[in-house]
Amino acid sequence: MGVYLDNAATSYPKPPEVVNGIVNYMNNIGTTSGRGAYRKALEADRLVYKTRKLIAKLFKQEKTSNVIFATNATEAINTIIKGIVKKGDHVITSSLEHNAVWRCLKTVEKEKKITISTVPCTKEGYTDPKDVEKYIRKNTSLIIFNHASNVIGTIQPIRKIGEIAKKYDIPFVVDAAQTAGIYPIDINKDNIDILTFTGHKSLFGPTGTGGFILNWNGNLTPLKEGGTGGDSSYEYQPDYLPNKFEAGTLNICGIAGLKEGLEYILNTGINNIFEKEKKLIAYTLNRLMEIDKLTIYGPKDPEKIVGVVSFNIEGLSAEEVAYRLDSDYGIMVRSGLHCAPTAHSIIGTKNTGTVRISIGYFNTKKDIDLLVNALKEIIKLN
Amino acid sequence: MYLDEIFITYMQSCIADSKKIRFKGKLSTDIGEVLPYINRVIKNAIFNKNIPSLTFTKEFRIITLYKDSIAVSKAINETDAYEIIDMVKDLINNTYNNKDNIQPLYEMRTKPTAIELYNHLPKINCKRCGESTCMAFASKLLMGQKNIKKCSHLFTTEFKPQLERIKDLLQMMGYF
Repeated sequence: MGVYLDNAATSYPKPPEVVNGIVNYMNNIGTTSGRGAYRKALEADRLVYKTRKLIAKLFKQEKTSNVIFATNATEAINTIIKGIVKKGDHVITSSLEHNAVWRCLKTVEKEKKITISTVPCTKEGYTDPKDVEKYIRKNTSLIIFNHASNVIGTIQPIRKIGEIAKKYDIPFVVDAAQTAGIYPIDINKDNIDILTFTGHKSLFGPTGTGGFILNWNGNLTPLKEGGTGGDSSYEYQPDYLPNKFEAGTLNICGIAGLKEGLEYILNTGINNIFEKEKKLIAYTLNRLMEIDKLTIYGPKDPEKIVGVVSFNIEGLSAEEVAYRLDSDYGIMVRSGLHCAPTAHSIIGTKNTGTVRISIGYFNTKKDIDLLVNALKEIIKLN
Repeated sequence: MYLDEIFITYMQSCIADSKKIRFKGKLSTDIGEVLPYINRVIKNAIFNKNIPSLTFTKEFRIITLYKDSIAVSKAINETDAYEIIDMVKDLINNTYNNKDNIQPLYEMRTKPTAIELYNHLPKINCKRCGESTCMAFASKLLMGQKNIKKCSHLFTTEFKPQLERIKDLLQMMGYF
């Protein structure tokens, strides 16, 4: 199957339980939730509820009904930004955002005449939380940060930023696409008002799953309206959770897989996952640093990053390296801007892009050895 | 674990308040022996030892436990229903695990009165239910000797709110 090092895009392989969960749902349940009075529909309801509860447990949210499903993190982020930010508002964000946040903010900027402040960070992606406070204005209605960069992996000081947001009573939203499932998150202790997550990365679910957890009582307008199963004679979207934000049939097949992924994480222990990945990140950084002509971007410190490492090789384009790794060695990595042009501006690679490897729970030292040997050979043959 | 699972078997909109749902479920264990202990633990529960059943509220929701089933009305949605199920499961298991330290209570602390039921009936003494007056029908309802369905007026649109209220009262008595 080759060596898969693109887990920041989506995790692969998934634990076998995830596949079995999906197959079991398709074969033995197969119904929608919230829309039937028969036993199998109630089973689907139960499955969805159990998944919500596991998410609540993983991120230490007490209220299961505050876990909202969406098709992915991007939809969740769109719901939040467009549901909170009003005409003329001001938003604060990091310099390392993925386009899921950045394009959404830029669109709202154009449509609602808002202003955006990007908090500067170092070349390594470090943000000083005190800088966030400097940007707060009277009309700041949202602070949104990614938890870890999908380009250089730098983990942001969200707990401290959340503390500042609390002080000014501004909702603080964390995009945990790169951390949910590998990095311990406590929605209350980390001062997060709304956490967005994707199901198909480190939560081991299939694509098409994701959502957000509401830990905030402010007014959030839904992005879409439609059927929710119950109370059909009422002509407007219900105001109770989670139905308020879940118009249309849920991706229950995906949720069935996500449930198994979550159970796998909770059974393994998130701290064990975190420690295992950290060791492999340290090994990867050490081995990559052996290679002459290779420049690593970001902190180069396993304590400061998730399993995402970007690099370039002198004399070779990122695309060529990625292509040769795949075609000659069966090693799958990503090249380009990784949907995060602002992060590339910070590290000075907006015109060239980078080669990005991203480590998952199932990668081994052997995978890294194969990568390093391949890179050395590619450089030698160049 | 004493009680492993509660399976929801039926879920439907409430009659008068379409924004709420009512549901029923089956218990994987016969919990008849624990009901008097829960009656002691929950201060405002209504215990009917003849059925036996135990009714209590969680905010606006009305929850009735039987020895092998559960009936809940005025839940918000499916998620709320399953949250209630989890809460009830914990209540039963915690009470069972602690029952050596709890004095079982077999009394019914309070119960709805015939007058209360009567207040929600049509009060027209039409006799179609087989009773000579609505008050007599209310008394029989209270004792579980008549079925609410015998009053056909209550099942018309006009009496929807009254029907819902009577159903709540009967549920508290463990009849519904």
